Amino acid sequence: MSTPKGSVLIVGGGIAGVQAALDLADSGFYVHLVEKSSAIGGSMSQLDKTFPTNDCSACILSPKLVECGRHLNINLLTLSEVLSIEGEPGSFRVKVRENPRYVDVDKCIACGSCAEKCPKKVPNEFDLGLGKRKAIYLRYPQAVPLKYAIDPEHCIYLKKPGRCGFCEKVCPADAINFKDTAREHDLHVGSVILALGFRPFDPSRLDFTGYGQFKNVVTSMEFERLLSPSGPCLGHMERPSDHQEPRKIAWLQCIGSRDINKACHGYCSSVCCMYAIKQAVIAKEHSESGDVDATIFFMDMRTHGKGFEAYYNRARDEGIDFKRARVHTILPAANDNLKVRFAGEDGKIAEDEFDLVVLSVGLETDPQVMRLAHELGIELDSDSFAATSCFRPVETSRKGIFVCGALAEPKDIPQSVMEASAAALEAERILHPARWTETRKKEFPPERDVHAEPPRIGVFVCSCGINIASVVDVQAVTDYAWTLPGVVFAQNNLFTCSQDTINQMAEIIKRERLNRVVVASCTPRTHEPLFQETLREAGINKFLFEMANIRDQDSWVHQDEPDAATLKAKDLVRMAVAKVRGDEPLPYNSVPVTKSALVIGAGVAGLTAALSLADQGFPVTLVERKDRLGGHARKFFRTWQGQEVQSYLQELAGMVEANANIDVHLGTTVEDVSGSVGQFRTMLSDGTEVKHGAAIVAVGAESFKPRQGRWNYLYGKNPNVHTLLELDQRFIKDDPGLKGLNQAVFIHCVGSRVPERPYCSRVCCTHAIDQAIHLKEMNPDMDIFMLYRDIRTYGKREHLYQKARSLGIVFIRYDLDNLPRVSETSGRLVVEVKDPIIDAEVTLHPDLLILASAVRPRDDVGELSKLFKCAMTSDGFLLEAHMKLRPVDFATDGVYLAGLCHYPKPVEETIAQAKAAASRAGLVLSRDAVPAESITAVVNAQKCTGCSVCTKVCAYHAVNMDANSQKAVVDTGLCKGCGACVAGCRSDAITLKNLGNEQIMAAVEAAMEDF
Amino acid sequence: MFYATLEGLRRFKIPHKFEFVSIISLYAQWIREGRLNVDSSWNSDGLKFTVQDPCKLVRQGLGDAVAEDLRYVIKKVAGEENFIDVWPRLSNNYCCGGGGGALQAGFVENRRKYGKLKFDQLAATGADVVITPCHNCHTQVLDICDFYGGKWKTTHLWNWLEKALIIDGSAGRAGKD
Repeated sequence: MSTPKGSVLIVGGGIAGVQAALDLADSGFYVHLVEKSSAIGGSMSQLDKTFPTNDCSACILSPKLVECGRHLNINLLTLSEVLSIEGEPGSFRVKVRENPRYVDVDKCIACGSCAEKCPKKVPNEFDLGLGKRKAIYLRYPQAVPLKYAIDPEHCIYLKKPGRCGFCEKVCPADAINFKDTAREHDLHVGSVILALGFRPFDPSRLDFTGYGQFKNVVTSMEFERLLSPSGPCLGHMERPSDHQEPRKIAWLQCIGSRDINKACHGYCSSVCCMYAIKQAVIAKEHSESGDVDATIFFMDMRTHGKGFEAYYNRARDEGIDFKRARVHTILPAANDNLKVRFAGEDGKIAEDEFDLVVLSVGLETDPQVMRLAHELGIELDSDSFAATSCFRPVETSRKGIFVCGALAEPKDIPQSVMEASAAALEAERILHPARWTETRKKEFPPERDVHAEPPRIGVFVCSCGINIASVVDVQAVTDYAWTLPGVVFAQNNLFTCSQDTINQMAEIIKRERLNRVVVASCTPRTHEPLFQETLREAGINKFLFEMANIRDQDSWVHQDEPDAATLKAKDLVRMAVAKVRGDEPLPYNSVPVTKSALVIGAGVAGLTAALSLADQGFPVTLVERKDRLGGHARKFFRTWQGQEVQSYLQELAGMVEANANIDVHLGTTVEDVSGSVGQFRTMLSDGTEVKHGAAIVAVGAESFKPRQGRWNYLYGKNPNVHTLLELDQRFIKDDPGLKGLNQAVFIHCVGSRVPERPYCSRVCCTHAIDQAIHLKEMNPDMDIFMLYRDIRTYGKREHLYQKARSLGIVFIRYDLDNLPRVSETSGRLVVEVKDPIIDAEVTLHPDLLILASAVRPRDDVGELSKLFKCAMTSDGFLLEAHMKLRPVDFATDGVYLAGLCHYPKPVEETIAQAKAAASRAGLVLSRDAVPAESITAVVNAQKCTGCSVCTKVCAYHAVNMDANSQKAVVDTGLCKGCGACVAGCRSDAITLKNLGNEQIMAAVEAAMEDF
Repeated sequence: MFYATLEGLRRFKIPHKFEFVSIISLYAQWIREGRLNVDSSWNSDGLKFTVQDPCKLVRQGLGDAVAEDLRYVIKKVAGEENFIDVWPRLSNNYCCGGGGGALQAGFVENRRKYGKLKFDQLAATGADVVITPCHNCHTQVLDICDFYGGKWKTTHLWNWLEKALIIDGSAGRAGKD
């Protein structure tokens, strides 16, 4: 292959596509991000809250979208679709059609005047048709790009030129372009990532649900919009028929999932159990009456992810009713209510009435996506998801084209984010010789030294079209700004953020020799970086800037009180001026990077991560406490897809050993760690000191061995009682003793989902069922009984469960109040259990009793987490920086995690996570230096009494006591500027730069000033 | 006969060159084609009609299409406004409770208990006539109506088709020249 292209095409602008784009663009590649709708954000932007943290979806997603939209090295192609892809890894020719937006994105300032005047109302697809939008519209309030678009299907002018055209008349920015046409782009890229997502299953083909016939039967996605503050009822939960708040809500699980009859989707959609619980919890919280009865009808409760089981338990404690039943009939009742008929666990028919029924619809591939996959030569599996294999979880059937997110299998957000980073890594692996060849870098002029100058403050007051000016008297605010001390220039702009005003602002800064700038406008959330960049372009330090939020926090919320709003705007401007007067230029801190990595743990996760980095030319030190490579995987027989693990592991270990970039230290542990991102120094137990820029923790977990106590079940006492891994080892050896057996019993959840280990171990259901199938295939006449609590064969693993049942394997459910009892009579095992279906005690005499025992965290993981300043969960697993959107990062920069030390997971997820961790580490290693926080804490040594409170409150371990002086010192490389130490200091010795008493008090005093 | 043959061929994948069509679908087809002329003007009293979807014909047999045809024919025969549908309907409709030998085997009390759900469902429509295109359903619906004190008439489709039929001599009779 000749030198590859240094750019990547990503198709799909949901969270997976966005994450992959950011990873690639930040590590030296140019990204074209193609999205078919008018804004990126995907399905996640439609969600209200996210499980299990109940974070507001838009709030955690928006910063990523904004970053993506502003990124110099991401080319956003919205309203676009891929027509063809030709070529091979390293060099693909891609044709993309960009459909007309009819709005000039360079001019549109998203004031909304056009939509206000547009006479054409159409159902809003973002709200799944529950609300209305105009023919010219913004996909959603936080849309990126924040630009309107005209829907040609409904626009009166486009359908009949000469009619209407109101938007063109009212647009103050002259942004409407009815003559806009589709454009074709020919892109030349090195690799392609498909992140095309899913569509919610359409339940109208399941007529028994009454969906589409009864108003108060809605899908879960519709319910998300009903809950959402940006949805059709503005966050006041209402049911469609009468806009009243529902008091009694039912959720029906597995609508379009685990249904091989009418829905034709045999797989489990993995996410619906959790989102239904979340919706029930949030519905209770949202309700104004505080009185909502929530019932969830389910088959198996699948809360198999990190923090999920605790969420489930909490929901039950809060009174959410979980009913194990698959509802077969929904009947209309009085008041547009719904009568739900179902067979209870006792087999008796029961009925209940609800105000609202929510169908927990599954995930499926959009037929348009299927067609595209077909045209691109991407193989889909029998469920119409992109075909991948356990050992290559993000690779499609076409070389150089990768997949992430729900396109490959239904999955939740963290798993999608993980795969996005993993897919980015695969692209980097091919394209690393071309790193930084196609990216652009912003150059700024040298900065003027303003230290000796008296403050010369410029104030720019924005009208934001009419957004601010229709409420606030912007001229009065501008005139007022002139009167403030230090202000030498003030101006009112129609749109301060428009390109021409930005250019003008830079000129004014130079001409007037301004050394401080205040912009009074919309919100720093979206616009602060833009204005700060303008300061740099004009040659002054970007921290000599303040923003007064006179739109989001003033004109928008005080529409009915223009006089008071004008007064408030003056207050805000006065405060900003007072604060900026004391602001000082701050350094753009950075830390030089040691371009090598440390990987701790040489199981599948560690080996994969090490190889992923070494293949890109980064030297890796791989540390393993045992004396051989392979970790836990050495005990595994096969993946759920049937691939043998041992041969794969040998190949993987062989590649690691043969790789000149990997320095393996066996029988070695980590003793001490110092330094921070870019410059770690780690002492190993063999005396080696390793300098590295990033670290990946992949130390694995252990299997729980129930040698005594409640979960013992004669383990270690009767030779025929095994754990799953012990049976796997007999499979690996092809033990002849397993032939000719008559009966086997598996007990699930041994030591998982119990008070002392309240989490679900995620892997055991699938593993146990696969083993049962293997035994049954070896001995077709054998009787096999699975004693389970909930079967959690999520995603496509559900097919294994179906196969097990069709082979005649018997599933008997038990619960914690009714545990199976194991005894022996003259060496023969006896298992007694109550079968709730036949309502009778069953006695079994197995030749083999298999305990699906828990995966438990390693006891010594706490020591390691302390060395790297990482947090742990209450269960003892390592805690990532953010459960949803940063699943492989630690809060400590430059340290990443992968594999079982994060949470129990099967090998395909471990591999994806390890690759994701390598991708994230690559963000650091691909740079000569990494930026560090500029707003950092400073210690006034004269005031410091050496009490060391600051060192204890710092979450980032950035404050330490100087051994000689016994005064606090701040490591600016580690400091995040959070201010915890400032608040903690009892001697007033620590301040934050530009957020010190001086500046804050100046702003506060200005606020109090009577004028 | 109809269902047993159909299911036998399907289950054992026996090759055959003919297709299974219910007379109901043919009525519907002929009405659509204008070969069978019906008129609901006879129903000046506004008799209300509802329907039973037989399991063997609909859910297990030919699916929802035949049940939709059945409704189409009833609406043509009795007037669009005089048809009241049941819920659940089509493939999801309740079993009458008389199948599986229940009508013949003597467990009268059980059979009527199963049939109570069907009775309540039909009674809730307030219809004057229940159309049952299956002989088994017919007997059961007739019996539960009588037993639980229903007010409706239980009939087959053709009784009413005949009332609505327009025999236009100039066009000749269907099927003949």
